[in-house]
Amino acid sequence: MPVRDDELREALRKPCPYGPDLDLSSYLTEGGSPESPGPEVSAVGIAPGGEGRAGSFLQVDHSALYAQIQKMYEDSLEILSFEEAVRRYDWLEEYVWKAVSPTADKYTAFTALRGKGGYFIRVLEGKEVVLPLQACLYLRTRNLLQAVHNLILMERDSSAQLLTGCLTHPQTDRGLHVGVSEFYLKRGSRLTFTMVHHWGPKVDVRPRTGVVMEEGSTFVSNYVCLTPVASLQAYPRVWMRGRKASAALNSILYGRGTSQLDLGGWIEMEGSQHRAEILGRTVTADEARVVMRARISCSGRDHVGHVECNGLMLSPQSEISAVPELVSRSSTSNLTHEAAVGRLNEEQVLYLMSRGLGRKEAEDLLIRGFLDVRILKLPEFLQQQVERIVSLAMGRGM
Amino acid sequence: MEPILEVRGLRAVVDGRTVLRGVDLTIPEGEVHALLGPNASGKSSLAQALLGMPTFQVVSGTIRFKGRDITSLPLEERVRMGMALMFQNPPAVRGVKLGDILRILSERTGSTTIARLTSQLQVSEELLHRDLNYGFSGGEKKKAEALQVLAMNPDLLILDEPDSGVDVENLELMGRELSRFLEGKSALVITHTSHILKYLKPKQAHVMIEGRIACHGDPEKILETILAKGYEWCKKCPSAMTS
Repeated sequence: MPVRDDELREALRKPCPYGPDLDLSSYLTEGGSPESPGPEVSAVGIAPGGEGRAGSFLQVDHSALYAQIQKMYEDSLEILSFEEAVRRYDWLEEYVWKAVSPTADKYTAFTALRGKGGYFIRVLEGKEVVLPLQACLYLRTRNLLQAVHNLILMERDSSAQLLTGCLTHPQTDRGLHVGVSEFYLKRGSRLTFTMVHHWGPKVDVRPRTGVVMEEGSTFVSNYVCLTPVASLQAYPRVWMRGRKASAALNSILYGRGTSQLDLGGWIEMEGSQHRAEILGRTVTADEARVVMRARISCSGRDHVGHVECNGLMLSPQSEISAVPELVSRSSTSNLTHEAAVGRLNEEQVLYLMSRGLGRKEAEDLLIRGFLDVRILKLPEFLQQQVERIVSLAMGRGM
Repeated sequence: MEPILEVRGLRAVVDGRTVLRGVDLTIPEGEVHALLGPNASGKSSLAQALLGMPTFQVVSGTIRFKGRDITSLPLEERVRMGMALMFQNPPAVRGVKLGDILRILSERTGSTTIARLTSQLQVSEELLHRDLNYGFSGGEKKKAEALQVLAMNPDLLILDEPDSGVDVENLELMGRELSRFLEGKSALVITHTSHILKYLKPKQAHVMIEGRIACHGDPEKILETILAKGYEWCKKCPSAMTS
């Protein structure tokens, strides 16, 4: 049953239980600029001209600037702005706001009432999109509230890699990005979703994500945020149905300055024989505060789930909380977790110094090793992209 | 000619515990010396104190390297001057690949020998892509250590128990490669079992007992005596009493 407007308006007052509460009235909700971004988009792995990509979507502030597909993939997929997709396809009602509740909190409610833009990507049945897809959500206007709704539909036995890069203009020093993303993976489909964020130190970010997976599907989500942000709070939820699906939520975070990051994920396994994994690697410096939440729950039979939260603290003024949580209603399933928070290992630093590295070089190498993007198990192309992003971020900040 | 290494009256403590009790040791340039001794006699402590590991606090005595007093120099300076240590028990370093270190060493030293060393030490491509020392077997650790220190091309190489935990085939392989490198070079080879000395042919041997060099002399004679009488005898040896 559709949610009534008065329920949505009521939900506009509902804070999220996690992360700092934000006053939405302190942001601009209208206006914005349609001006294209510059080469800074490459910092989040976006190819500005769409070269080497199967398809691209770009939104600046409230305006979808383009949604395009390479000719060779025209019969494999669709990319539209969210509004255009809703206009075009009545059947989308089956999916819109079904993986994320519009009344979950004030951010989802705002998006349902006044959100603008976002992308719709559909990979058609049996189609394998080898080149990556890219989507860029760009916040240009100072103090703007950008609220987008994305919907990704992987039809049966399709496969794709999607790289989403979200960033602000270098001079946009305040703003709020809310991104509602609903993923539907039909039977046997595979999606690697890599999201790279590069915000400003006074920009707040509230992604809201729901993923519905059918039998035999594979979903790998990688989240990378290595530059300062005012606050970031996300707790994507994944529902695994049927049997033999596989889900992984990986994140690599570098909290700096006074950033407050509260990032997690909840994978819920129903049916049988699913595999779920949540891996988090977090480094904190300066006065950053990070909470890593990871919850795997299961019912049904014969699932395997693993949670791993590792934190590395570079500053005594920073703080890391690791909150792994396992909930099982299945006596034939096996759920495990490990969590560790600590500082750089001095023995390792000295060992690397004995090979001729200076102390800072040794520490940087260990931090890079800790943030090893190879844990993401990315396709080769994306791994190189993300490694480059990590190198850039490390070079700037350390 | 000035010795490459000259240690005089070196006393060092770790966490308040004395581990070196007045070590005297001289290695002339271009010579390989062996350092023998029973377990816990201070051999590894000496190696790490020579390299300047900060856990080893020198309380008295001097270390001169290439004619310069390095007693107060930090580890990285000593390495820069040309000293390298092959660790007995190197730590596992997650996220840093053996290949990463070799690439850094290659860039730094301009060394073109790494590929050759990798091949001659029979270090597999797979090992290069693994986290350094993480899950390595005893033999893999030694090979990885040898590969790194040889790639550094040091003027003084300290080998701490290069033969422990290594099987016969790998011992021969490492012995051959280390021996090739050490032609005309200076080295201190620490060994408990002395197996590696078959390949490295030291010019002089020193025996360390309870934090001191108890005696030194011809390696073959010393080894023969130790093999026949054990280190217990060294403790009672008249020359040890006077050292």
